Amino acid sequence: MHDLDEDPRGVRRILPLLTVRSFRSETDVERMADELPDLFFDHGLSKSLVQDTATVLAEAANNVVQHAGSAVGGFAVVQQRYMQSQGLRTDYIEIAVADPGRGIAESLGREPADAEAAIIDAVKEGTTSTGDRHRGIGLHELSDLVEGSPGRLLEIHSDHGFYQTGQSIGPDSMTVANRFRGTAVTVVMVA
Amino acid sequence: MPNIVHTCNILSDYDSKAERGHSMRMIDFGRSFATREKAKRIAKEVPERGSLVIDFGDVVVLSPSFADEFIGRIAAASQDVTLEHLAPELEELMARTVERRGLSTQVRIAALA
Repeated sequence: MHDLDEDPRGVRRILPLLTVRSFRSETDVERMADELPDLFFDHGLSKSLVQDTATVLAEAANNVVQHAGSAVGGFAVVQQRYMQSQGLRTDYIEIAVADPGRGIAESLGREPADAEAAIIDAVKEGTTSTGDRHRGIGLHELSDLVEGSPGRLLEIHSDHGFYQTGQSIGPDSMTVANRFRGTAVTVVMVA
Repeated sequence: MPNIVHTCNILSDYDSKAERGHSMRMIDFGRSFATREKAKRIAKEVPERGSLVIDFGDVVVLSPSFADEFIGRIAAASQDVTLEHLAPELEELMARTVERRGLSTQVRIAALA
């Protein structure tokens, strides 16, 4: 069993849980989700944290497989990190899923210039490019998940659009100068 | 992926009374359920008649997409569905899914004893 090294200087330390993976299919997504329980239980992390982490990983990765049109699929990583300040230690789980695909705007039939607005729409319940009214729950679920508990943050970066939300900051978006060609979804949660 | 092969052992007469329908143990398909694809595969094995009791004991992970696809398909196949032994962290997701689908009268969630 590995553990995060104690560091008297109080610097941030990282423990990889799910090391960087590439995925292309829903079968690959299932394999990643299958790995999470043992990885988390081996490090003393709770069942509810496994479920929340798997929700983020699966919904973000399913979006890549179904909508990104990425020739190389996507990439995902899950890690544990702690921050220590004045003797007080806080542990976090960080999940990142990214792909170099068409981006959220194009997948919703919008212009790249509308990236910020496209992300805002994508986070709303029921927004989907599939035409199935029951689809489009993925990013909305992630938003609910981070806004429903303290110490959580969701960030989505696609083309020039950037969106973040959490219980303490609320939904916020902007158009940024640096373009991410594809979509990157990251979630941080207090462990 | 041996789970589907075992389906004949998973679906059995519930409580030895055929009129009460069938039961199904999700753990026989794995501990984690993350995709719509897996939901479709499992739902295909459910007989399209009678009532159905689905045991979620020992299941650790359910994604919202899996839950949505699975509930939608199960409800289309069975008129009376009971979900039981859901862990607390999964019960809320299932309740939300059932409500979103408008299936509250058709799909019941049994409370933990």
